[in-house]
Amino acid sequence: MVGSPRTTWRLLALMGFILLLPTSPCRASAFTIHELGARAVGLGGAFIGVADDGSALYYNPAGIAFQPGTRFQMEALVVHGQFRFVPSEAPPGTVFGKEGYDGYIKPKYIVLPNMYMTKQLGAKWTAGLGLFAPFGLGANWTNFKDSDAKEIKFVGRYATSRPKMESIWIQPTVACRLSDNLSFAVGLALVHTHVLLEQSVLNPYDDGRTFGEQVSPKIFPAEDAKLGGNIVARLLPEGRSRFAGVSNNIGGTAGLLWRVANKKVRIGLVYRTAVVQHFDGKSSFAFTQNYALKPFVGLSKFAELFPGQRARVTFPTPGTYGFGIATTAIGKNLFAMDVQFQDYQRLKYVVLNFTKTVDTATPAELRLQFDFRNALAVRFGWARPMKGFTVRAGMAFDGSPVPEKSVGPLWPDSTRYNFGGGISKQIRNKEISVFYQATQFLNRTTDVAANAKQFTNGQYNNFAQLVGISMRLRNGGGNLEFGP
Amino acid sequence: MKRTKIKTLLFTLALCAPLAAQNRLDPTLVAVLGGGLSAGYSGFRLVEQTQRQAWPSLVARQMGTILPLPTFRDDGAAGVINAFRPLPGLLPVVSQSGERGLPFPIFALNLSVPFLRVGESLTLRPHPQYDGPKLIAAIEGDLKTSLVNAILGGPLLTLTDPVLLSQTEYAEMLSPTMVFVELGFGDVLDAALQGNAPLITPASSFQTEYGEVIRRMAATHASVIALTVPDPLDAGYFATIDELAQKYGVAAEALRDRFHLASGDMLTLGGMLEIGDALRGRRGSTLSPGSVVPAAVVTAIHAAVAAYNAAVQSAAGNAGVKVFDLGGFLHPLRSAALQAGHFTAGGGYGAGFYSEDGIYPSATGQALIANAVIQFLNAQFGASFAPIDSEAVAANDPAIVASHGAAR
Repeated sequence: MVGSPRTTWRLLALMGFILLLPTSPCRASAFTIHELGARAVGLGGAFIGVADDGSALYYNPAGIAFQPGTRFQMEALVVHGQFRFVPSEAPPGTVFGKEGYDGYIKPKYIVLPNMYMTKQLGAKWTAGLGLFAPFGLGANWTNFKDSDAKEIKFVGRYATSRPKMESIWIQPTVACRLSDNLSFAVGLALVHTHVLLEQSVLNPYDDGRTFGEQVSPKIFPAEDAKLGGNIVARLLPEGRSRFAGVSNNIGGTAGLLWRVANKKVRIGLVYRTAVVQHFDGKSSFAFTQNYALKPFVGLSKFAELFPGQRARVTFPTPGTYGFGIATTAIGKNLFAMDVQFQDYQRLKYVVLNFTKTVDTATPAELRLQFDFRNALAVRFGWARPMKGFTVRAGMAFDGSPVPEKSVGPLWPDSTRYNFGGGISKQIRNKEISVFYQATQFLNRTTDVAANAKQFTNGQYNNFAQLVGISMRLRNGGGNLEFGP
Repeated sequence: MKRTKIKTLLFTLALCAPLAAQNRLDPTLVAVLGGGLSAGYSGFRLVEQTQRQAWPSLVARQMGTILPLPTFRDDGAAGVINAFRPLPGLLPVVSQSGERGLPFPIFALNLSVPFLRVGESLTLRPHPQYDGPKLIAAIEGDLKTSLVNAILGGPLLTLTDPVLLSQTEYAEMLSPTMVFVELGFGDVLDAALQGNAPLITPASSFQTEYGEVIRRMAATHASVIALTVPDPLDAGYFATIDELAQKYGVAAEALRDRFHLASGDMLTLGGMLEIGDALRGRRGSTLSPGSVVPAAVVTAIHAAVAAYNAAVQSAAGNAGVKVFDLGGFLHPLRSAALQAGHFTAGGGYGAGFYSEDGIYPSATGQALIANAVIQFLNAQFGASFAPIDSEAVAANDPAIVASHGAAR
């Protein structure tokens, strides 16, 4: 029985367990995950004004003020992302299929669990706890083993071969009904984020040349060091670097929901704070065994130059501003529309700080410049009761914040359109909802001179499908969902 | 393990379409597999000055890259070895230094070894000798081993575990972006110098070995340029009876009768000098051994070169490699001299194109070859490399000054 203290503790324990499950990406713009809540996604994600289930803790926490009783909601999304990259240029001899490389996440189907719980504390106050992942990214272009011939390795591996980020928000929230039709909520979140970044280093067309230029006078004395460095770069081993780190930060959210026109129209506003993530982790390196310079510079020397070490990464996730409006004024239909703005512009660069910098080749600071721009998304949804079910449909335009120069295996991003729908069935105090969403990314072709050395120019073709199911349990308060 | 990797690669190749063949030239790391012509052998020896004036170095410079050389000291005393000579006593003895120039690069990119045969490019590795702990790289009386030790060995021989690689293996190790293959001249040169047809590498062997060199170079994914094999009998070191008769103003028939020459025989540099002396009454009409390349050998050499060049074209075609016709460039020189600005470089002995040894080009000859190669690269790869100022080279070239002096 939901609502009893014993059951509540069980649910909390279950939520804790779910936290331990792996979460992974189903990208909205850049690394935003907007596919939370089966009912919400069925509406195309236009849920800021609706906010009538547990996922309101994400979309608009003020919505929980109008959810009486005790409610528990859990959901699982299955993501199948198809990321493809066809390079426009590659080092001579590189072999890949006509369809290029795939950056499929492995396994191809990922389960993304979220959980929400709300409890009305009185006529005015409602509390909630949400466990969800509003940010994440992941791709796996590692179609090779390090020992494979370089001709068959992923051509863009010097940019990134395997990025992964999972940001979980554990968000206690309180909502207050300021009046019968106006509510306000604030939530404070512990943001736990794990990041993994793998890429190859000592690119013979890029950083290998920088490294080579420094040792060139010893290899090719009396020759131009820059030209000699270009040659030395081809005599070096290929290195692989890996950074894995964790950050724990505080984030927050606030929402406002206003019911007007005899409660047939809802207007919502939401704000989610930006979070500057400070990852503390470990950076490690490994090198291929066979290379021309080996008789003179052995692997032990590279181990000295690139030692495993503690490292820090600073990386901001954007603030989010949303406005939504929903109405049930037209027949039995629900119409909803959201406009969302994310200040991705704050992601100008990612800073990586190494700790072993004396007599090594690892710099004190490595700055990866991205220069994102702000992102705008517009979402539309519709729902209607039909023969004991509720059916939903929605679509969304989601603008990409990633500029052309930053498009690559780390951010194979482009503006996309989401199309989807869902269905719910309520049986007494339980409700089961399912949804399907297809995300068509606009094909994106890049041609940035600065990226030529990393061979990340080319065409990016992405498509993603999401299927999700959620279950809601309600104890007390009746069925007060907005609309059907 | 290695076989598994190769299988994986082949399997992937079978499944995947390779990226469209790239016609863009990347001269970052140029490796040169050649013989004396590419090494810069000139005037009977290989020294830093002649190495730097060889066409690969000139082309590399025009392409904006460097070509580290296994240079030999001009004044090197230790390990002096004997180069080939036309005939004892006819020209000054020129010694080959066995000492490398300083400072020397850890890796050389011009891997050309004078007198190397194509089969040796695949298999001949450095063979250093030791006097106790002391390394002896230059071996008295063994020119080729000494050159291989110095060019393909060098600093690699001084390691606790010496790296001993053949020319082809060395180039593979370098992971080049561009490769010139100028091999085959050494396979017929000995036969021409000694008038001994059995010294010619059989065409069937050449075809197999050359094909392997090209295949392995193509497998590095570098832009490979194969150069056809020049006919050594086109060099200034050799002359036909008609050319000699014209030079000395006598009838060809008279020369044949007096010196017991058969139709189709060719004279070596030694033979030319001996006939000149005889016509001036300084010696009798009996020519020394090695003065004449018998007609049968001449025919065999021409046939071998033709077969070699067919093999070059075939191997290049199979591997998708471009071919620069070096043999075709050098062949007409005897009848039509080249211009280096105001200077003329002809193909006869002392006419400017060839150095004092008559086999290998002078500085001007190398510059003219370099310009032909640059023109070829520009045409084939859409590049725009500037040509060498061959006139400036010729102005300071003793071979050109000598030829003009002779003309006067």
